[in-house]
Amino acid sequence: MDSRERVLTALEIKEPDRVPTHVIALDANNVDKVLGKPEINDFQLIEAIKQQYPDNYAEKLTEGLAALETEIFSRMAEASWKLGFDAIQVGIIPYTFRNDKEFIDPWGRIWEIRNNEGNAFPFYREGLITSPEVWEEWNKPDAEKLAEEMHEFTSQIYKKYNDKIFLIGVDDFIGIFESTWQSMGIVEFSRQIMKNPSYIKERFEFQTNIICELIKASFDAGLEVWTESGDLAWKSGTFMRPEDMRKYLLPCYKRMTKIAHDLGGKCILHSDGNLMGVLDFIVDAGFDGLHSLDPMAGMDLAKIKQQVGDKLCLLGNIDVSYTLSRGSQKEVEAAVKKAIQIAGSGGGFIVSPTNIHPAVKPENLRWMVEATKKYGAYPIKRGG
Amino acid sequence: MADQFELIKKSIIEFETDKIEDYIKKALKSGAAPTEIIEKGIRPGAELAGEKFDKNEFYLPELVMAGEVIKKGITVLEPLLIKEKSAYKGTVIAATVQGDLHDIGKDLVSVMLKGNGFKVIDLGVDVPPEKVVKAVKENNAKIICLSILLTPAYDGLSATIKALEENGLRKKVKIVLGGAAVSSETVKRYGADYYGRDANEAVEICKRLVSA
Repeated sequence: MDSRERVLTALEIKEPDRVPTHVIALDANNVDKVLGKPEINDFQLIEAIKQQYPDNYAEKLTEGLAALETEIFSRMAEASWKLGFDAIQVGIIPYTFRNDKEFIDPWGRIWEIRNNEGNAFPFYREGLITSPEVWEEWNKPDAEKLAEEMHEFTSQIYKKYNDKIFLIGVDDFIGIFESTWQSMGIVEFSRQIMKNPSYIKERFEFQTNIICELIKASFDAGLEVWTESGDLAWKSGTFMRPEDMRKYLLPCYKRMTKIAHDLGGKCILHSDGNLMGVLDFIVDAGFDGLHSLDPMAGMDLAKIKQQVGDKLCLLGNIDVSYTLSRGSQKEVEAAVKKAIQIAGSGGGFIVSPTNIHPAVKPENLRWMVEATKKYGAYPIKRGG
Repeated sequence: MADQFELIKKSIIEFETDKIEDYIKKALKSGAAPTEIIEKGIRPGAELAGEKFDKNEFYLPELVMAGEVIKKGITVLEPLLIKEKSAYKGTVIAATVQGDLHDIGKDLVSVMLKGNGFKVIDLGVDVPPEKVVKAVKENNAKIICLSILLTPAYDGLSATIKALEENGLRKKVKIVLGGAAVSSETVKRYGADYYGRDANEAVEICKRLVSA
């Protein structure tokens, strides 16, 4: 089987030749470690543009941003292929440079540009949509324009990497829940969901319209799987009341997964945190897979497999707080072996880091991939 | 008077941001001391909000909104508390460590601690170790609550604990960790003292520390 067949078979909850491997992204410092540093880093580029266009450098930087993001994600695909992964996620994030230290995005979020070993690393700081009135007046993101950008971006990467690694489209940072709450900040979101839920409903629906267009664009460019990204929970459970999730998020997710299914594709949900109490919600929303399954957050892989393993493909479970950032080869191998023993039987399991951050080490990722090849060949008996 | 304390408590769990100021002013007018208002009105309200969160009756939005009411109440009382010696249960330095910009968990812990009668020096996010050291010295604080959501920020945690050691402060303070990147294992590995799984647990740890 090739990577595409392997991943799609697992998403069908069937047994491929072996358990596939997947990663949501790679941090640019790790990409550099695998491929070597680019000739000019992001900050040198920003400085050069500033020197050349002192009066309108932010505008000039933004003009070149789509090309830069395409390059960043292309290098990410190349590096993850070299590490031996079967699948990686790609998706453009439509930032605008506010100045040389901050991005702003179409949802009114301000991002600080941090330096990750020469690579620009966006860090969410605050949202400017401080009330429904501000949203009313806001120059809202244009779904058609964003879809065109996504199509162009995806087409370019797909042409270059489709034969090497299975590419999955993603709305990283711009998923329905995350883009909505972050655009207004957690206090305003809390106030509105309690006092004016119709506004939150409207915002979720607005974002769903955009995501549906992005799915169509990505699939038109060749992709077959989409990941809805956005943390719905923390360690002690979901951020929102489960009944509010059903009321306001479920219809949006259903619409999104239906679009993916109607186009012959699949749809995965990525969320950190403890989702043990809402597994049925994820199934009812129509998702084909659930990613993260962070053991640190209390996600119990055995229970999840037992409860929804016949309905959801399970992706993740390999810890990034220690195992993939500071663990030994033996520890990485043990974590992978254990996860496969618990969730591998019958198919529907994909080994993946629970998340990704600059401290995750490429050699640990390589060990993870190698261990999956070693222990993940089917048939796998329940419990190993 | 008891009714006024009850109203203050109720305003917290019913998210009446617009009413707490009025209730506090009425209680003050009736002769209640600011510390008494915290002890009999705000603290029970904050505790009840925490209990409801533990029982899944409150989720993040409710906890955040209860926190907003507490914040407003404390803003009214703070200038008066400064005048009262030993008005606080203890002083806590709260910070998200260097390398991390997440503030939700840290903000919740800060406000719940204030609601429970602690003086909180909130240093914000991405806080350099020397700023934590300076705050401990200036405020003679015995407890530090550090939030870490991102694993790369472990370097910031490590540097903060090292800076406290180098300044001879480590043995004088207790360090409570919280956040997505933290577990009991992190506490052991980095030489901190306690791990609070959520805001409520962090507050309970601080309460135990000052009553010990």
